[in-house]
Amino acid sequence: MPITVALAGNPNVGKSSIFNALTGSHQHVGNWPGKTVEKKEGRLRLNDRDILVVDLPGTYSLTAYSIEEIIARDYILNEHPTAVVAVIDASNLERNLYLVAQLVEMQVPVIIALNMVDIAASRGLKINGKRLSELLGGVPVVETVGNRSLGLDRLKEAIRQATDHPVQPSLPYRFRGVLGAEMDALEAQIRADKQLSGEYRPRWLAMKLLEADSAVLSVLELQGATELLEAARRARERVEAATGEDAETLIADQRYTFIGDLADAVLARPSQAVVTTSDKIDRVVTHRVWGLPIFLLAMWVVFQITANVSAPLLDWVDGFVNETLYGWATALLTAVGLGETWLAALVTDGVIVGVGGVLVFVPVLIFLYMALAVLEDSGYMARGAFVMDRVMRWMGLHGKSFLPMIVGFGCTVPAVYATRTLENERDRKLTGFLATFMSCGARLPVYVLVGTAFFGAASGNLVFAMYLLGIVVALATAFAFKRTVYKGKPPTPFVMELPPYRIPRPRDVWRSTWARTRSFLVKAGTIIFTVSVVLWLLMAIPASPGKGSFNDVAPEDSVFGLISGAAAPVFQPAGFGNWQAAGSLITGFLAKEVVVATMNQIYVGAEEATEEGGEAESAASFVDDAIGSVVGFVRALALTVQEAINIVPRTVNLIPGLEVPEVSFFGEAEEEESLTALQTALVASFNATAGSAQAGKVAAVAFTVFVLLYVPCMSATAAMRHEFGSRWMWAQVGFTLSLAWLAAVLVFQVGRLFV
Amino acid sequence: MQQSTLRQVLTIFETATAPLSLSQVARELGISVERLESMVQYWVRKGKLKESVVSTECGSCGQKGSCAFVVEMPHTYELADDNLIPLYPHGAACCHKGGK
Repeated sequence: MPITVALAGNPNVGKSSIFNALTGSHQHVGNWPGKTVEKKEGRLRLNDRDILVVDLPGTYSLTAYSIEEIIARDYILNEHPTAVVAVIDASNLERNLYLVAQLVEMQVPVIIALNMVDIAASRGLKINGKRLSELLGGVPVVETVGNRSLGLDRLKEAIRQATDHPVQPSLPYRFRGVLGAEMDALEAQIRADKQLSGEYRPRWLAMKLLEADSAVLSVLELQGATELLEAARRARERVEAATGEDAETLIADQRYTFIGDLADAVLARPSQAVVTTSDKIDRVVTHRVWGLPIFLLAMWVVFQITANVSAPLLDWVDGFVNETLYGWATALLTAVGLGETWLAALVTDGVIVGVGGVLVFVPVLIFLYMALAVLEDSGYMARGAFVMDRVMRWMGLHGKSFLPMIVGFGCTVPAVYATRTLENERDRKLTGFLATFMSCGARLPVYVLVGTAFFGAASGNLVFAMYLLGIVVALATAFAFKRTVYKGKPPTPFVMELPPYRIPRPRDVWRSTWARTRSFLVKAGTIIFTVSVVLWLLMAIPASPGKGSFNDVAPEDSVFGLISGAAAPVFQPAGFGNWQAAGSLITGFLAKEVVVATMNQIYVGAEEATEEGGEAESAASFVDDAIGSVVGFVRALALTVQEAINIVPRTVNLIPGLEVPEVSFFGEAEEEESLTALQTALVASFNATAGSAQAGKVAAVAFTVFVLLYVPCMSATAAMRHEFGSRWMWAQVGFTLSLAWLAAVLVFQVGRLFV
Repeated sequence: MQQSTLRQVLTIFETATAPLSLSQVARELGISVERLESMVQYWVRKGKLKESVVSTECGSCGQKGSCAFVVEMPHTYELADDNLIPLYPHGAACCHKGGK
């Protein structure tokens, strides 16, 4: 019979490293018979003997609840390996000992590879291997660091000894009370049965019968052991009647008690917490005074990256979609004879201008999601929540409330659902209410559009200000609610687990960035597409017969223009009382991305429709456009790198007295920023409504404040109704609309006093 | 009758009105998070508890599976649905890998 050693262990304890180090290149990878679970075998040459090493699936236990557990247990029971090496994570001893206890209960020769002792040591944990061995009835314990091949010689020596002289460990603990008595009785009955006691360890089988292990019961039933099964059933009933607890739970509990006592006896935890690098960083970034300014600075950098670094790519996508793609589509439609039909207008002025107008902002979102993913993956975002916890409690909110709010930076809908983690219904409702003030990703295109149109290179500051304002309004609302409607007990501090810092992994950062960008793209392809088509129709239908005909009507005379025009006077005190802005805000109720799509259709679509007139492009201009797009893209990439580099001097220059020069790849003259068609039209429209260029800027800020504070979107409103009921939803709609209007009016009326 | 620690763990989740984090429960029971984690896994295997997943499909986008924006929530556990049964209750073989 070949000598066989099985490797068992929890998932992620370095079992594969040990397996690879033991077997080298002598490996065979296949599947467990009849299963899709991978089976790895390898050869270990030890003192002129070949030992077959089998890597069992990673499991936390050896019960019958998962396929991995069944495979591991069946292998040990049926294949009778000469020894089992239990690979355990020394830095998480207690959790790993559960499996070890079960292996010892099976009375197979066990060797413990106390792996990852370096990590345990770095956390100040000391494990007395000798004592562990004694308390487990003499099981050999070897310290290893599998990924650095440390301790392997000692492990091989332990394997050699265990395979030369296999020793069955004795059960190091006894079950107490009625449970122990019933187990003893069943064990005696099994021992009396020669066939069963030849196949199974009697003690282990008695334990499994009391646990009502489904796999074991099935096998015994097939073997016709009805008397034993009946005795086990009665024993379980007696245990439950005497203790009020099922036998399986009692056995597991006594196992946990043994493991707890074992860990207490062998594990020396640091009396004073070890100061890790993470702790040192935390002393600064979660500092009572400096924590908040550092958090705000981090967010400021994020929005600088978002608005400025993405700007060159945004310009390129804008040019490509609104000029090149628009031109190609017009040429193609003309070539197939649809040049000046309503269908051509729908495709170009409806779909391309509407959906394309939103897709232009994909680079901005990619950079925002990437920056947030870096903060999350590095472990800093959890510190942000920790820092905000103090502020939240001061405002009367539970610290946990900040977590849904962080989710709200991405999307309000999951933020509303995330309030379920709060225990108190009042906190849940209030947090769901406040989460709507967090600037979701969909609002970002509006900020960037308005910011770059009116404030150029300083647009990052506007974006940052909007995000900050969202938090401030949420906190102020909480403060007001907690002292009036929701007066009650002061909130308890939130116990938060701060993960250790780590260098962000590019793969994880990209995965998170792409998942979020993808969800935006899916939305653009569904909701925004539909809204763009409907909006085009509403803009193509004249409001009254004398105003024109279908697809030949001035936008302000269309049905959409009529509806928007009726709402426009409401916004006059806020400085943007024109039908275009009012119309954008109306469609923005469906989804915030639609605000930009609507503006593009109103300002750009109409303009291009009158200019283009269905001019066909020649093949030569098609090639020229394609080459121009590629060259433009390369230039945009270079400028993106330049802007990314310039984040450093811009951040340093925040310190008074310092002026670090910025990098310029193309010279200042080359970098003159020009406004897009939409931005130009937007600036002209706002300036005209507000009365002057300076007042136009203030009106633009008031507009973004309104976008920030009013109803987030239809989906978020539906989520509010689903979670908190119709009354609460309508209260939220009414409150946010009123607050947004008041804030916008306040910004414009006060702001224009200073310009 | 004194409840076993293992049963106390389940009782805490049964009486909670929201998902609980391990650190919260560990503090309540006065045991280490590592010890509790192992005990919680016992109830998860038995189908009594489950890891709480916030909003798997929020409806605001067409994304299947977990929401792309929910990344910061700490790991919490809650009672499993009543109809949730333990995986492989009869030790039956399954063709899917990693069914935990």
